[in-house]
Amino acid sequence: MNWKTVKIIYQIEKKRCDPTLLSLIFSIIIAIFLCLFLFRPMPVGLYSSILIMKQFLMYMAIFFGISFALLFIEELKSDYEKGIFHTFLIYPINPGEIILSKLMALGIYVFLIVSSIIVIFVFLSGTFLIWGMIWFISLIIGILLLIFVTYSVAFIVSPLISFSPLPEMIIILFFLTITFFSFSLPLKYLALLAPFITIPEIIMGINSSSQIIVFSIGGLLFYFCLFIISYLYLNTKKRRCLP
Amino acid sequence: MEKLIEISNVTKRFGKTVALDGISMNIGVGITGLVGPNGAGKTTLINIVAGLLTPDSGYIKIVTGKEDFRWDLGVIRDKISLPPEVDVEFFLEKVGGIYNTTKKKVNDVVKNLGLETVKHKKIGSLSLGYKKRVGIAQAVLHEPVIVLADEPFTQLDPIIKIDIRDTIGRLSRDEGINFFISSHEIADLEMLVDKVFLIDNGKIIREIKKGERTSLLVRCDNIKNLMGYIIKYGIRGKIEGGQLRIEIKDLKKALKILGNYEGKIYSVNMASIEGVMKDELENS
Repeated sequence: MNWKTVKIIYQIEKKRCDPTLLSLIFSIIIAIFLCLFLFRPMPVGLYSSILIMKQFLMYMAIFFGISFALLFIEELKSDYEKGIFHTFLIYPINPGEIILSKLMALGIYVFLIVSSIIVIFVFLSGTFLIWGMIWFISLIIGILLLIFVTYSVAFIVSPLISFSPLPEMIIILFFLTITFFSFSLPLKYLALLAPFITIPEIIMGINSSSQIIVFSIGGLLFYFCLFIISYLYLNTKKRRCLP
Repeated sequence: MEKLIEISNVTKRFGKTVALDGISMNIGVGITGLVGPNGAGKTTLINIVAGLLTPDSGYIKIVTGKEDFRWDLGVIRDKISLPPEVDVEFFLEKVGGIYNTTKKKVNDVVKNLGLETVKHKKIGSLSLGYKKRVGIAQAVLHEPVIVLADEPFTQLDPIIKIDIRDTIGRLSRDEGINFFISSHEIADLEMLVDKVFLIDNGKIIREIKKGERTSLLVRCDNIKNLMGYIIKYGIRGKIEGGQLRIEIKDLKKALKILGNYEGKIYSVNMASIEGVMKDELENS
């Protein structure tokens, strides 16, 4: 990977992002999410810190995961259709570097917006006083891991951009599946697919089974490997027949 | 002529449509044209040479020297596909950064292409003529060996068209940049190119060198009179859209004969490639 060209395309893409619009979209999405989460019906008997966190992360997977991954794919598709993606390809840059730069440009803004709103919410609501600092740290780690998984999923489906709406369908199905089946899925598979749910539980000491720890770390590596495979696939796509 | 790009037996299909059918040609120094009707395969060929499409069979060899051919290639695409949200100067500086081009070179290109007045404007807000100039600027910034230009004159008004044509001519003449230009605007190409490939239905029909065969397009007060006059000297002519096309072998002699014509002649234009192309397309 040539970090110099990634940085240059990132700088162009950063200029292309409209921070006001992005802030507005993601502030609204996260505000709706927080309202729904705060005012949801909750049976008293199930009111526990770990359940709150698990539900928080699952709700967020749907609200943030789907909206960011779809936004990224739609932006990429728009560049593809307008020919801007191909304009970058005529420079000595690999397709994987172009897509990575775009993901970084959009991702950093969105990360800052979402993290700030959630940290402010957790502080202002005093939740961390009720559930303790470990809970708060675990939640923050869970959110960071969810953002990592979201960015990975968005990047992994990007080679399928020319088969739209397939990437959009994969994104929606993925986040809905891990959310709706999170209670019925065997824990080790949940750890593999959604480590952002199991790792905070491990940190809180709720789940200390070595199998779940291994599967959770394996889950992170799984997304990282898929990310790398997608990157390599994008770059090694045959573009010319040389003698 | 020194060979810069070798295209060998290149075929490209889109579904059942054969866009390019075993094309072989060599592109050399100077300005080379690719002329043909819409749908002939010009853009497909340019995109394959630029590396944006992969041929189904055959190969393209860019005889330049760098490991990645894109360092030696500049591309002006038919659609203005530049990011509309960024400023002209910022964009060109960043593109220059990819090629390690100096800031001074970027400034020179901005100045030479008349982009100084718009350099702080967003690309999306520019007129089509300026967008085309930015397209040329990003293609020549790194002093490539050859620039591929796909339909650079399309949709331009006549004044801007002349401006873009002159710019390409100047870059070729003064900076030694070679061009491979596709266009269906034969009149614009005719003034620029050293050699033209005629493409139709995905095949190269003919290679025409400048001055290989010449015809004159004459506008006069009475075409029939003029036709009768030139026949006496053994010159053949054909009426086309209110003007007379005269096929000639000896230009000096033809001009002398026309000079002695007693009627009024309004204009005489050379139309070498256009004439050949018309004949070839009619015959193909």
